[in-house]
Amino acid sequence: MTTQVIGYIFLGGVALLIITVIALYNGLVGGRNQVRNAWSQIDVQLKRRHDLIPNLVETVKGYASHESETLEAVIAARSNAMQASTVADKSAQEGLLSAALGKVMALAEAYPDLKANQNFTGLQEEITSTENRIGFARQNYNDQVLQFNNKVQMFPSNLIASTFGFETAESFELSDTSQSAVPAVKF
Amino acid sequence: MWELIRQNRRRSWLILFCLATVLVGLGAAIGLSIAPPDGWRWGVLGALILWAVMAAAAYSQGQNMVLRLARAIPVNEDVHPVLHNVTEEMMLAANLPHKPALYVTDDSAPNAFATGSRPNDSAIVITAGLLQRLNRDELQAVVAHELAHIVNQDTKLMTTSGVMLGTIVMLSDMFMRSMWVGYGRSVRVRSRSTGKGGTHPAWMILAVVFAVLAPLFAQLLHLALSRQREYLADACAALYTRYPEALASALEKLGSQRGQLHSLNRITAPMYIVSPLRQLSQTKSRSLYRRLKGTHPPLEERISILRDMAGVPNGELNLRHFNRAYVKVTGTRHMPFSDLAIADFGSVSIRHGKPDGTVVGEANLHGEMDLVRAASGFQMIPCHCGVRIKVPPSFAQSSISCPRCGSYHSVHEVSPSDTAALDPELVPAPHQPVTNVYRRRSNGWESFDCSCGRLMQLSPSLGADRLRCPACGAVTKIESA
Repeated sequence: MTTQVIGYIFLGGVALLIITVIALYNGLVGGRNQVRNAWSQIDVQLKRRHDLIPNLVETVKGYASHESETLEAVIAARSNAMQASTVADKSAQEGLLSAALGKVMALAEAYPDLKANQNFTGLQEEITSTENRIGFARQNYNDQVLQFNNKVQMFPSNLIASTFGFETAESFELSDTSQSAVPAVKF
Repeated sequence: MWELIRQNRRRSWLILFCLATVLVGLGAAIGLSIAPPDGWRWGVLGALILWAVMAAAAYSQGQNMVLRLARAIPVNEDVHPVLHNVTEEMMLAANLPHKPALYVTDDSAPNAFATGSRPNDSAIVITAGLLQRLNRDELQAVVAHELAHIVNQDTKLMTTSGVMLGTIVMLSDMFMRSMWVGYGRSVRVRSRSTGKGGTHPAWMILAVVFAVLAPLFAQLLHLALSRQREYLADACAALYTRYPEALASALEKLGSQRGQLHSLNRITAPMYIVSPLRQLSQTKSRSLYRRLKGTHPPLEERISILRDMAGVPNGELNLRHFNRAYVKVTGTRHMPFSDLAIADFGSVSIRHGKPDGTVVGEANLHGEMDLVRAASGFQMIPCHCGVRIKVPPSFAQSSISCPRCGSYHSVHEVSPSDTAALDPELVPAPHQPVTNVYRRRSNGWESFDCSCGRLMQLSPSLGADRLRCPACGAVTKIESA
């Protein structure tokens, strides 16, 4: 009798262990997917910014046609950013685009007709919002990375992680301080 | 954040379990009193059936009734692009894939609430009064708070809790009514059956006690749950925006201009960001009764906690700070979150707000109130610490001490010039010596305790180098960081 009971307990323990392993594995997979999803969200917002720029340039051109240098600079920065492929390259190009865009928004100070244009004020709000969204998307990405890395490194899920080959993800740090300068959109 | 949500769910399950126990216990007690000793089974069954019926009714109606009650008008992007942008920014920060529908109500009292139990069925309603008064950052903080309710599925939780509460109240009510009618009937029952049936005094008394206490206890549990979730939403909003000062100043604006909401309803009251029920939350009293009966935590506590979070030393922000701030402000060790959840989450760095906050709407209410006072003959004396002292026309003495920094200003018959207020000779008189010294740790909001125990909060825009305690009058000198 007792061997039967012991046998049942053993089986129960094994079942519990299997369930735990499955749960931890799924948690890791879910976490990794969240990280990937968050990364693609950053891309979505960057693309949104790319799409807003042509409209902005057209609007500004109508009022500030002499400022062709600044406008061409932002168009060039945009095409560079769209063509960048590696992560480091992208982050560098997007930083340059932020700076160029900031200059365009700043020059609108000198053109009161432009500031009064409803189209421009709408675009201004959209661009501010897009810059915010990029910031929040990065923040969310770092949060997801933190949660995932906690799972990968903490006991007991680290056992599962090392068995199945889950690695820690990299958080999105800004490499140098010049890129952390947010364009000041003040009016 | 997932660990936090899971932890909070566990605690909320505990409260729900307590409510369910009360429900089942009441059913059993009633059943026992009618047909002991096996009647408790029927009592429990009856209670559960009643609960199931009410739950079905509550869940099926869901959102539309609430929106109709509030007379909510849908808002699309062309009408209010800022609101939509702010919501989408917060959705990214909160990792929420489904965008809630946005509504506006034509109400001048500033408030907001979130509703919806299914992810693709959620909605946020904001009053026109709130849209008029808040700047972009503050609006974003309010939206973050409401999104936190949606992410944490608070509406589903409060509906479940509310249904249980309603069932308990109904059961208790029915039982008490049937008691007065039942004495006559019990005679007939006894004569019909062979000896079972009829009322038994001991079980009756027990059932009556249960029936009286259960609704009270259940209500306290329900309200405790509501308050706990409000704190959770505040903490989540601070974490999403990385800028707790925004929510603090939004709550402050909401607190000073409460007004009466037109479409007010006791049922929908718990879901608002700030309690729309005047009598329960505008009082500063910390009496136990008020605290227990409030659907929302006291507003000043919420603001103090958020501002305390904002003043953390190296700008590192996490739930541990919220917890510490909560303990410091409320003086209790009743923690909304467990240490285990906090350890999991880690820290994030705080953001510093942009100095100019453009107001989305027109109103400049501070100016409006001062306008009224000036029209009523109040004298405005600017103090160098930043406060404008408003002296009522009936003030008889020749000098007045500033409530914030304690320095004296002379009160003239005619309107005073600025130079009089900035006179350096008007320093605290000898009988107001500096009793404490506090050294700043940063240039932002900070809080510290006066020697009398009162929590004092230090604003970054304080113009003076000393602060007077409103409770005991002692003056604390502030040394810069």
